[in-house]
Amino acid sequence: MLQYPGTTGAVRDLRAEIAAAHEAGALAIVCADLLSLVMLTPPGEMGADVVVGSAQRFGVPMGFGGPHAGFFATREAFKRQMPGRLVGVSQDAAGNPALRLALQTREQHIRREKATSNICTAQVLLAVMAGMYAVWHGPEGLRRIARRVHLQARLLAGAAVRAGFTLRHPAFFDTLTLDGDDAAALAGRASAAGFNFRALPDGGVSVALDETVTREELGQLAGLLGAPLLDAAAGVPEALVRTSRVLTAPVFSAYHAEHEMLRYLKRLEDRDVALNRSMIPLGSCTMKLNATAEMVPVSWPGFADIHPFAPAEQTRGYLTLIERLSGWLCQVTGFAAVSLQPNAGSQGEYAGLLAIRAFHASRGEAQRDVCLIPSSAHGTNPASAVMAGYRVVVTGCDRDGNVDLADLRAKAAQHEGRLAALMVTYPSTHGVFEEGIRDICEVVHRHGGQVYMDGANMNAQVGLTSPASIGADVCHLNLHKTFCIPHGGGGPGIGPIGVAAHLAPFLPNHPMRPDVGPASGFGPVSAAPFGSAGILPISYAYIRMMGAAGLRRATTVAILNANYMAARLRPHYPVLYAGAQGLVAHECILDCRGFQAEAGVGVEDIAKRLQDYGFHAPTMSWPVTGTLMIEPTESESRAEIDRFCDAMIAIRAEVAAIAAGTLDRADNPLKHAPHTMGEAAAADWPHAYPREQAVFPLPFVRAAKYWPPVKRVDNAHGDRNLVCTCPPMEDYAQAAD
Amino acid sequence: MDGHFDPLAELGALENADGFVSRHVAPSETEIAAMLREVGAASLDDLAAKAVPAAIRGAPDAMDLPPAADEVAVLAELRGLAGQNECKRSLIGQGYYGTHVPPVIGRNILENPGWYTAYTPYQAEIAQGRLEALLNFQTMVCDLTSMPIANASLLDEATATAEAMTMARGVGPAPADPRRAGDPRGAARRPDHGRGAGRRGGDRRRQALRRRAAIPRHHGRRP
Repeated sequence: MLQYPGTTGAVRDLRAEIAAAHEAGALAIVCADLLSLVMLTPPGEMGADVVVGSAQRFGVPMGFGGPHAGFFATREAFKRQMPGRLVGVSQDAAGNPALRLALQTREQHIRREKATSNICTAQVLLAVMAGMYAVWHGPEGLRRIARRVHLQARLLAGAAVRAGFTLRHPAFFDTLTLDGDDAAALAGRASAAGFNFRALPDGGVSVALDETVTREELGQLAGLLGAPLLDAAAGVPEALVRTSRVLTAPVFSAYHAEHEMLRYLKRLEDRDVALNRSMIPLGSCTMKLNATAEMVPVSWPGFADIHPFAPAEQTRGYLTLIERLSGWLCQVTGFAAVSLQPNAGSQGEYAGLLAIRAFHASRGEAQRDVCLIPSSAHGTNPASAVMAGYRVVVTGCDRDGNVDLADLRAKAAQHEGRLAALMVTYPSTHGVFEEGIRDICEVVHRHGGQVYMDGANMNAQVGLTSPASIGADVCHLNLHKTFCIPHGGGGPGIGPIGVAAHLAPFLPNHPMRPDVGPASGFGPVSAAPFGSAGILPISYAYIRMMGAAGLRRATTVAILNANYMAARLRPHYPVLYAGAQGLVAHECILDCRGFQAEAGVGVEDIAKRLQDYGFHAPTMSWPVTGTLMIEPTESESRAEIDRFCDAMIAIRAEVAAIAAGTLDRADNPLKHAPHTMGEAAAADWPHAYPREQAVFPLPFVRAAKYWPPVKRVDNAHGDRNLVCTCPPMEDYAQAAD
Repeated sequence: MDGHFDPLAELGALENADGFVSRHVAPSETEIAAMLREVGAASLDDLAAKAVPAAIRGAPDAMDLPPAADEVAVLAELRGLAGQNECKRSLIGQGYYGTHVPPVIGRNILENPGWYTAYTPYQAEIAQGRLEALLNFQTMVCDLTSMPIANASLLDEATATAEAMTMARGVGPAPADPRRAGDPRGAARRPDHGRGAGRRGGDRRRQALRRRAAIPRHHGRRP
């Protein structure tokens, strides 16, 4: 594993080391800085097998540590082992080019035992920003930015040498490390002048330049060193100057005028369904309101422009916010301590499971490594458990999706001395408040295990019950579900964990910030001490504006909305699972399995048909194959819920019409959904049902029609013909012919 | 003199400190009443009592949180907190750098609900916009690193590094790559397909794309 450039700025030729690694049968992983690669020989040309890094400096604010998009690039040979989501080009049912997530079978929710990592949430919004930064600046703009930053560094290096400092690394891109008698005092002088330098433990000092540094500031920096800006030091050695071109795809050269860019962004936005168009009733994902007032502070400089390793006295506002929010989350969960460090629910799981391991080890029971997981669990659970070094033992569920207590007792007893933890979701993944949850926790505790609660369904608990009162020892919260951080099209997220007092000494900490987390903690799970601190103001604002009564009302209305929806749809669809009182929790599951035999219709057909009505589908085939799981949240009005139910009922009528023979079994609006504007307007309409039924199936659709931009996407085609970068335009044109 | 009129209490009511609750929780009192009838509950409390098992039901005042404040007050409070952070020019590096968010991107993506409220693009047909934006990201990463394939982001640099380590462990020794030895891979493997492509014929361009995109010959089915 090699850093390029190094953390103190060194630019080295990595070829020999990479060759040596290969010689020894090892892979070479290079952690690289994207901006430097505009000018430096790229790791791929040096033989690297994996290149990782952060795209933060491509137009994403520092935000006291995040969120930012990490990147991961590798060789073709490893594409099936590569973690994370991969977008690829495929085609739709009409043969037109269409994009979709490629090789999805790698993902943990699809195929647990073959998952390549436990990551669910990525950083889509931030990756989109970084990609658009490249689109906006283009190859010329990026080269100018990189060369400017590099020249600033060279000028400053020249001044440093003139002032008597030694450059620790004569070859550098943007970061200088200075040694000399005066170096230790330099950081202090810089601070007084409004600059944060990095003082190294060995007495040296590092200065990393970036595109925000102005000519005046560069002059001030030279003044701090004690010499004028007169000559430029060498910087990047000749042998490491990049010769290959960058950003050659047309998209990076097409949108430099702002009008063009504005319209490109608008065009892309208009192709998508987001919450500002219609409800997104995804079960277990809690797509509630992300209020504008909650979002506004995220872009304020006082939150956006703070470096995660800035001196603590410069970040008092953040530290106060973090302390208050942590306290409030303790109130919500009933726990003693909270860590905000994990960047996603999956990372929260990982952190919580490591805390449990550390707890057992502290009691001389390091052999406890069995993690019980009910068969109904989120796919992330076993993936996290495996990553945290546990042996997964699956326990059964009864017909209603509840944990099979007898099987749990048997498995807990069988693994008595090895039992480390149980991972359980509450309310259950089937959307039910299980009556037996207390007993479940008690069984695990009696056999020496700890209870990990998956907080995905926390939106049904807040103010009514809590993980602590249920009997859990640790849980993660999804701030991007229950506490209003937007999903961002697939990230960011925050997955803090709450723990009971006995686990508090084992929360994550951070080597760069000894004041963060307990000294006895197991280490960090994120790069930054407080994870994605830059979006914590969202959850802070939400809790602050709701108060305890408001949060409790939100939970109750979420349950009401789900039960109202279940009541409206029950005459048309079998509603699976309910609690003892016949009620669901905050989501409900519709059984569509009978439609296959009745009309040849699967859940995917229903999901695609909903797009013709302008809706995003509910969660499909999870936790039960052939079903739809619907979670309306408290933020949907009765009118919007009714609109969605009307669509579902109309679709059910179409299924019935197919079964009755009124609609053709193969040529019907469900099988051909979604319908595009292009086919609706074409002279030729080849179907046995009218155009109007295809595109305006209910009156409300006509009032604000959303046109799906492509027909149903062929996933298999794309996986057989994997293309995961922008093809040249000519190829799109040829494919369309 | 109206003895019943308490102007301060009246003022408090008019200030509507918990006004945000009814913005976030969408159904009105009338709608809630109608929906409660539909599901057979007398009140929201009755519904909660029916849905949540008695053994785990918490007291209504179990959470000790500050009273609700309105949007204006909370934004002012947060502005105060932001003001307690000092924006010095941080030249600390270590993976975090000052950067200018281009205003056209800040306002139209970061601050735009059309982008930030969308879900993960599993329903591809209605996610073509952000899928294209992510394809741009992947292409940019491939170009700059000179690697053939890149994913659509991971959580942060440290996690990406840990994932790389895990993957390296999983795949075992590096398989032989005929292009590796002494071949500056970028130049050989990635002919510029964009603006320079005009010099090449369509077939060669297609081959270039195919090479770059690694189309496996027998992927998914046996030959």
